[in-house]
Amino acid sequence: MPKWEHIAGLLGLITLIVGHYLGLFWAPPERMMGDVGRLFYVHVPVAMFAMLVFCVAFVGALGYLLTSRMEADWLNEAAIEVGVVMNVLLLMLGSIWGKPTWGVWWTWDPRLTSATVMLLTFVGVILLRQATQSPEKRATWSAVATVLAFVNVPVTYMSVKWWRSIHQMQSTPETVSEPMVFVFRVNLLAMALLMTWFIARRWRIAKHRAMAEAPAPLPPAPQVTS
Amino acid sequence: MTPLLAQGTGMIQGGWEFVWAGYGLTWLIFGGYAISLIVRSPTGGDLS
Amino acid sequence: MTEAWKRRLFALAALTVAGGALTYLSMGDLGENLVYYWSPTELHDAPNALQATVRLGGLVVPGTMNWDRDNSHVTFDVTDGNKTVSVDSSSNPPAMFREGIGVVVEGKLGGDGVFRSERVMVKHSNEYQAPEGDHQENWKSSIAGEE
Repeated sequence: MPKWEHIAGLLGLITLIVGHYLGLFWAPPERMMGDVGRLFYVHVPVAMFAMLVFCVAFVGALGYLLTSRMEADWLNEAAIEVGVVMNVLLLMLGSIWGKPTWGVWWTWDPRLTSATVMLLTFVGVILLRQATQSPEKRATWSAVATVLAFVNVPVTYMSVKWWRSIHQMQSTPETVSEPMVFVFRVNLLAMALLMTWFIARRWRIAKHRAMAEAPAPLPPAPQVTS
Repeated sequence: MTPLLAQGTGMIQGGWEFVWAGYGLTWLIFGGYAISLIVRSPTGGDLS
Repeated sequence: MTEAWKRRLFALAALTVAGGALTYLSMGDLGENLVYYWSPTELHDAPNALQATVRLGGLVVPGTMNWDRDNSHVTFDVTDGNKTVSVDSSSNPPAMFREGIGVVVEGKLGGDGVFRSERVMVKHSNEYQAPEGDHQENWKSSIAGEE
């Protein structure tokens, strides 16, 4: 009996293949960007889900602090790692898209800077986790660090509205042609399904490690006399 | 001279290499991460 | 106090700090020196703008673009609707560069009032449109294969 997440993973793989096929070959070229506009269908879903996955990490962190349940800590651990992978991909895709459109691979505008800070802070949380031995201490400090690092996620989202940047503001269905919105939504769905599989699989690894780590029931400790 | 430069119309001509790089990189990173999850899986390479 | 309550207290403290930081950033002005680019008006009004490397952002004024591609040289005016700055760039701008589009240029304002730049970046809008008169008007039937 396969685990439930494999259904999401398989559907995600199929949807990604369909979504990328539509993005590469079926969607029209963009009026000004031409075929380079096809990067919209990979960059924007990855950006949205990088931030959403960090929201999941935030939920796991708060869940642990409020309930002290290790399941929430495993969710925090899983989502942070998946979010970091997404954040790395996000920055690389943005760079690949920035070169032909803006004219540069990189510039320190508020959006690019805040997205880089987002990556660095969550890498910091991973390092903090690895440096802490006790599972309870690790979970507590990771959760506190996650809540603090999470401040920058809405800041990254809002950076294009709050500050002057070269990065354009969020597109809406009103600013995007209908067939492009359709292809975009297929790719969003693919991303949602794949993130479900990634986080669920990573959660199981965290759970398994925690079980292996847990000390076996100790025999009664010998009394130390002094 | 790259075809991306100096059209004057404000429209990008070509640039498929950027598109392939972006889509390819997405598969590379997702594939690599999926393999790392499978390898680290509690049941080894068995996904159940 | 039990460990569980201590953690709830940590949650409260962390959320307070996080919420405070977010409120500060959303309301606060990060200051003139931290802006990514200056507007033409700000460049006009700044007494110390001369010879400092800054970014200038605005729209390319239609009719002012003079582009010598072979010698990688382009001049154009940048406006914010209020003031205008003449830009002289010694590199070819990216392909999306055209009259009326948003640009961010890096360089220095000379004593003659001309902004000399070696890097012109294009700031495009958040619109993604199919080409006009696109063949995929009937996109829904096209994807269902009912041509």
